[in-house]
Amino acid sequence: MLTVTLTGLTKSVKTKPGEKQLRTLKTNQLTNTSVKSQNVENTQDEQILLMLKNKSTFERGFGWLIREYQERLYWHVRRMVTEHEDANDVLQNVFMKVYRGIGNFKGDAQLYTWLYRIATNETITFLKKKQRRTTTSIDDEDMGLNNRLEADTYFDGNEAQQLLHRAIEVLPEKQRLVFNARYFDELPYKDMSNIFGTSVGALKSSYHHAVKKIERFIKENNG
Amino acid sequence: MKKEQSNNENINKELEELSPLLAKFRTENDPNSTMGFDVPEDYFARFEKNMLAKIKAEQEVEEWSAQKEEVKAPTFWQRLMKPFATYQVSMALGMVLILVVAGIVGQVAVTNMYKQANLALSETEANNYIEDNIELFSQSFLLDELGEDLAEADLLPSLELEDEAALEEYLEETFIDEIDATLLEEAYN
Repeated sequence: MLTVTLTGLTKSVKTKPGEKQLRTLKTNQLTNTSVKSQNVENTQDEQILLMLKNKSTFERGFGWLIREYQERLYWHVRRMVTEHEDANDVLQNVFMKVYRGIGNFKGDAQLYTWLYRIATNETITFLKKKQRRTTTSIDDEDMGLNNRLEADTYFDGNEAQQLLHRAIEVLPEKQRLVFNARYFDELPYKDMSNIFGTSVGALKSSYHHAVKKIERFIKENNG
Repeated sequence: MKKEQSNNENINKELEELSPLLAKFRTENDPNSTMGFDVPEDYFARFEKNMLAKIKAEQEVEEWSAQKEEVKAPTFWQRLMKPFATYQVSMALGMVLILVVAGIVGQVAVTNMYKQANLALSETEANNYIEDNIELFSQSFLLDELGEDLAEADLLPSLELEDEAALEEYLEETFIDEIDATLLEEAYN
């Protein structure tokens, strides 16, 4: 959200040339706010983890963890599984895994990175199970997604958004994960490397292939 | 967030180089939005409550299981015998035990039977049996194993011959009819 604000600010500053001092001041203010925000997030994670270690504060701590990360994880899962009910099931499994495994979290990675990895693994497991239940061709899948999106009560996207979802859906699983992590979740390649256990070079390559395929799909199916 | 800002700029720049079409799309459609996806009303507020209730239920089950295990902590022997505690294994072991006992008992019974049979047969009875079934025994066996006994028992009964008068009496009773008269005269003379 802050990134959007920053982008908006940059645009508005550019429309007012000559106000260099104001721009520098605002940028500095935002940078300070950003550093504070990042520190707050780290402190929050530390506090959450501390509360989870104590039996008397565990429930409150876990509630905080859910509130803090549920939305980000939900959208990550939802973009992969498409339907809300499936995303809801997967997210519940994710937090049950977190509950069972929080004692094993060493703190060597960011809490969000750890949660993202669990959510990714759960999503892959879910998709594989679903794939085993229904074996369909790529064309059928594409048509299936189109119908599913149109029939979905919880989808009200425009045609362009629908087209992008269809394009993403036809990507191989790994490319889809990498594309979503980069395009929507804006993860740096380094974090993605920790999450997917793949080298930065391989991730860049996957992302580039994914972008090219999506562009081709949009060009072929637009209009 | 400066880091995030530069990361976002990197993403846009990277995308611009790879696909201007997609980069334009990204600028027009905020990637941080839900991209057309929606959720039921108050979903996230309810999700937290539901999740905490689920976790509490699991905690209660865990505590209950832990208490149960504490109350009935298995002894050393119970732990040792645990692998054999299934119905199938118990049945198999029982059958093996029964077969072993039956084998031992049977072996002892057969041995005793032979022993008793041997003890119950007296020498006279054995001899009588051999006499009655003489055709069943080979000649060599009879000579080797029983020749002496048979000679003593049947052919040359052991008599205490104290004097000649007794011998004469015995011979008269036993062989007198079978011995040639001339031989008898020669013997007496």
